[in-house]
Amino acid sequence: VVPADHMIPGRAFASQQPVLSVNAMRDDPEHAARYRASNATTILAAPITAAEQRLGVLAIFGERAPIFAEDDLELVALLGAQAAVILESHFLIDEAADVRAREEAARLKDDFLSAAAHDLKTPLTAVVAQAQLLERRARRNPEAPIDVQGVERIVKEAQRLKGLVEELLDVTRAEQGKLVHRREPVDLVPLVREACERHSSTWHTFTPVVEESLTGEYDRQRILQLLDNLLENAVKYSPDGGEVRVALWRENDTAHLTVTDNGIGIPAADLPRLFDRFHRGGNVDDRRFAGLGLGLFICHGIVEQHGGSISATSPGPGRGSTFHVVLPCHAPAVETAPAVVRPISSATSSIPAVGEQAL
Amino acid sequence: VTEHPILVVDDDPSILRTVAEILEMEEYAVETAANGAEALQAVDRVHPWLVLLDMRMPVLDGWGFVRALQGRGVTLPIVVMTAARDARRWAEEVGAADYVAKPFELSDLLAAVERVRDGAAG
Repeated sequence: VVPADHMIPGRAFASQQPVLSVNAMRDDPEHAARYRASNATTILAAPITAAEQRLGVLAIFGERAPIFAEDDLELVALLGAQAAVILESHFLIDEAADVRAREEAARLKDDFLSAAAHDLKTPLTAVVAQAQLLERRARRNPEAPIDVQGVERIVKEAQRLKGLVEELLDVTRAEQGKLVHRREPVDLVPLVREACERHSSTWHTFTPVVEESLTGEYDRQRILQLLDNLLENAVKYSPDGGEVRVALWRENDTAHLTVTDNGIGIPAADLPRLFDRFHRGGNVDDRRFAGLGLGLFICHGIVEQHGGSISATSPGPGRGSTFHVVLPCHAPAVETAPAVVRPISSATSSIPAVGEQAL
Repeated sequence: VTEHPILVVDDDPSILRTVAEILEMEEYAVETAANGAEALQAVDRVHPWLVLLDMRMPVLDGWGFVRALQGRGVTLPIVVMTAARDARRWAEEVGAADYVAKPFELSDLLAAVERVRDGAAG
């Protein structure tokens, strides 16, 4: 309120000395009107300075003189010094929080890059090794027939690489609200059944609990991606194998899907941030579970852009988890209106408080 | 060199198949396993002279496999194959003879195998 270079508190700031004025209007006639307006007859002011950094001025105004005496100068200087300590410690705390947030962001980015590199390297290893194998064979024996299986393996792994690159690009699409394109009538039941078959193995059995049909307006490819992501997670985070229950049912005009596994579960502390970009659970040992921390972020984007919601519950680490997807069967009428496009920041903040809801 | 095979352990079927074929082309006998648990069974069954070991695997990972071997008092040369940035450290952790970082050149893989073979022979 008081400019640093004038009025009486400004003098304390400029001189870095405590100032006592028993008659402000006389000592600073230029601003008499302002002192009168605020009933400030007498003023005691001290600079607030920490480590030679001028932080501000502590000013005490009195309506009548003489409230303050020369002795009070020492007191106000002391109070100013105390204020400086408090302000400085607040600055330090803020700064420390900033540093921590930056470090956390840097760590997440680092983990992400390392995981992205690992995931890209696996199919790349197969492509490079297989191509070099074909090359070496052809050089040794130019007459040998083409190893069709070897070539097919290269094609398959190259497509896997392409898929990974697409997944990385989906992060940007999720942030821009551009994941969901064409919505058409889609029966979810065969999609769920087929996904269960696709992911079943010797170690993991998927049990679909579904109705006869459940048709809604969805982006088929994205729903497939959502199912694959959730079922893949169920396999990945159930390293000891086991049964995964996939239930699909209709309530009014809404499809509900739950995927329940008996895997490593989710610590309560991770639930609120589970769908954040790059976030990985505290019990997810990097050595056992490769991953980018993108799957659930993309799932959240797909569901949200269908006007639905996704949440997770877990009885705790080692006790499995359930993912619950809610998808309205019809596209909202205003879907194409620009006002519906959500800002990027809502991608994480709009997630309901999963933890509270769950526990 | 020996009648015993090289045991290749990797949860990625393409890499497993390709590495096996590379070794077979060089006339090594090869046995494969998709995880640490399968690898333990294979060790009992075929007594490999070398294990090419991926580290991050489901069911039983590379660390678990090596611990189980130690628990049985079995010592076997191991070459770690991993795409992890910490390849060297992980190899040291399990007392591996060598490691190859994925994606590897075919010649690097064969060189690592030959080093173990020649070391064992000499």
